[in-house]
Amino acid sequence: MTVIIMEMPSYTFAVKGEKLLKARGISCELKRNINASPGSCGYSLHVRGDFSRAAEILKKNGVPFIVKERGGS
Amino acid sequence: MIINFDNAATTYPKPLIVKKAVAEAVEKFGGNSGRGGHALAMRTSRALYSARSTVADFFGAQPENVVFTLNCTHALNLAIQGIMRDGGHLIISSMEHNSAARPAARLALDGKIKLSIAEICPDDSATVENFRRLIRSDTKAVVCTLASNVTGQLMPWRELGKLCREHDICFIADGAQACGVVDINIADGINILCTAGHKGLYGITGTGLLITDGKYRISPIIQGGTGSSSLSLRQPEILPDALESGTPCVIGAMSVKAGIEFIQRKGIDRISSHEDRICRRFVRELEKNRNITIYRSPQSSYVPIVSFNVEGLSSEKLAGELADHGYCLRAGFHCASLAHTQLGTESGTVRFAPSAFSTEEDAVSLAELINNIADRKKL
Repeated sequence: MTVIIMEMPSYTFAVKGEKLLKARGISCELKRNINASPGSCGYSLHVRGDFSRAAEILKKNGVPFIVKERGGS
Repeated sequence: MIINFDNAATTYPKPLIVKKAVAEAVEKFGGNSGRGGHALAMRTSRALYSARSTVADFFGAQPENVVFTLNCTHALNLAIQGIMRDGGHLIISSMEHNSAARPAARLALDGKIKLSIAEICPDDSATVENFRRLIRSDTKAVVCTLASNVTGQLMPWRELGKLCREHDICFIADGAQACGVVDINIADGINILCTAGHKGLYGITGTGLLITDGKYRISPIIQGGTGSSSLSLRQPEILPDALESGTPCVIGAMSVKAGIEFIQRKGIDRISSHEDRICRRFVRELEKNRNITIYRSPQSSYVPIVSFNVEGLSSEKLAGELADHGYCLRAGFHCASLAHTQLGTESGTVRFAPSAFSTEEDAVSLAELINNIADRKKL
């Protein structure tokens, strides 16, 4: 399954994003970044499955993110 | 024997749920929140988020717009200095605590802002009119306490919020004496709510909150490590990081979360009416004595605080006598020079402030003692 890594600007937004996605049945995991971008908080959401829906939910709720990687697992 | 009626300063005792939360936080949440990916840091970070989320739900805000501070003074300084950084006109009320009045006065004395003081009246519409009259084209913010920490007078904050919204002015509210006994939702016109965590919210001392609706940008007055954007020398703009530099007090935040849960379980209306009943009984008992002045007006509404004086006795001396009998009440000026100037209370007042744990019996016993002291002075 495709895993999208979304870098978050703050830990607070990372948890908020995780809760929003899980509450809507989207599988995701909050993890510490291995290679953090300069503007990130060092945490990412690893989203499995419907990325576009996940992105839409986060945007709708004002949760900023940057898509870092797309890959399979 | 200690009978505490100084709960407007800080509530004591704390609920059992708060004591347990503090012990649990010391035991389990020993990592540094938002810094690091190991189990201890992650567990602590999640705990802090849960506290932020509880506060946000309680006041109708978003979790990221909840900033943990050291106390209400810290929150008010962040708000006032952060909003007024580039100058402009500020209006504060004549009943502000020094936590708002001093940072405002400092900015004005340094020539950085223009400051006006709106007189609080017993009649709410007169109060709102006093604020309205002072608004200018460059008015950037209004600071008003939700309830006076001296008299307990409840301010027309919803009307002031509306007035500010009409003029696109940032409304900064000091909720130190109202939060926990008045149902407050920031959507009712408050742009920035500053409050203590250790008073009506029953957290431990060293806790405060700044809660914003995010409409007005608050420039940070303290910069430092936030766990985010670590390679940049610029403070992050995103909340809460922008205003929360340095290691947060996770233990304190967890105590505030537990305090709010205590209020939610008990019911804010139940707590408020319990304390109000005690205050009304206390006032009724003191009103029997002509030698006692009570600083309340029939035109105004009050949170559970009663300020009073005994004729011929300084407030400190009276509080000292009461302390000899185990009663804890605060005398003097309550860090509110503007309020005492308006009241004309040259030697301050004695302040009675019950909590959810206070009893009517204790209040009546205290009133009897005060009446005896007042009668003795009359002789």
